[in-house]
Amino acid sequence: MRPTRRPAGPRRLAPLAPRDRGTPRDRGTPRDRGSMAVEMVIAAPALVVLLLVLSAGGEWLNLNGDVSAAARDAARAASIARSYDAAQADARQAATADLSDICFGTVPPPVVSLYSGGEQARGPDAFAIAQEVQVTVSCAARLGVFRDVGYRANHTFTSTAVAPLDPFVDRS
Amino acid sequence: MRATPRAPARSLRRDRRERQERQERQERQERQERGSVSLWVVIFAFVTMVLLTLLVDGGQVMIAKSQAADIAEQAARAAADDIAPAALRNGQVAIAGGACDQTGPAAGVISTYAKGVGTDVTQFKCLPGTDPGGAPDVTVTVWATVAPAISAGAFGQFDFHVSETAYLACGTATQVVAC
Repeated sequence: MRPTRRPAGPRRLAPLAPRDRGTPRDRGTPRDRGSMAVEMVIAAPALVVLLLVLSAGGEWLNLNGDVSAAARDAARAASIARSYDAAQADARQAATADLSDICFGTVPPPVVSLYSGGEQARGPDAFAIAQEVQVTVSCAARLGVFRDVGYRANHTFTSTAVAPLDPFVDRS
Repeated sequence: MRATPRAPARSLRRDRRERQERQERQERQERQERGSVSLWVVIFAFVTMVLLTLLVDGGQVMIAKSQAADIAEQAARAAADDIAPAALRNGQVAIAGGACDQTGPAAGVISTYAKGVGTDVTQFKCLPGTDPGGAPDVTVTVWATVAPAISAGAFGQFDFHVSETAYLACGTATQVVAC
């Protein structure tokens, strides 16, 4: 059986507009094409910075806790010394032992102050009669998360602690 | 020579219509995608800031709690160190009556501590007693408050209290005996 001849249509389709040509992937408004990729390129550094800030917050917290603990140890070490000079040396040794891996450079000598009942005692000579010793520890530490991206971010952490001086210990 | 049968005209028109519809669909989709990354970045930034606030302020509270615990511990030690000399001369080890006074050693430690740390002690309670082993002890409770590090964060002022106890140990550093 011979195929039925259909009514003759146009021999060829009218040429498509230039925007209709090509594969489906190539078509589309040229202004929109790749906009997501461009936005992603601009947004990616911002996202990285946000994540770094979040990590730096955790690191800041951790370093703050470390310096507070070092101040407490230094105050306790100073409180059992027999002289003011020994108290300073012991406080420095305790702080250095805690912070040598955390701070860069040498750990600054802690500031040792003497108090009696909340009032500051006058000078190191008061060590024999003072009731409390206050130690302030400072430490400049690098925030490692920023170092990983080539930026040096330092922060100086400071913490203070107090320990009572035993009234029955002979101090000079 | 027989003519090659041509595709029906109706089928060609349908193909063309489908192609146009497909193109319109794609254009519509691209228009919807434009700006979606920016929106995503804004949402991500907001969530990150909330997390940062929780992290820093929550951590600040934990540090303040450990500082308050140290304040209470040192105040208890100061009070427990205040041995009554008169009783000691009679061979008794007892904590002096004024160890927990408002002008006593425990109060002195707390007021000295207040000069250097960000944790504010609002009030304290000092209570002499006896530990289960029979040794005199002092329990100090401090009520403290800490301000958030990120003031615009979710946390307001945080109030808490901590108790610590110090007891008297008699003897030497190497040999502890009953008091």
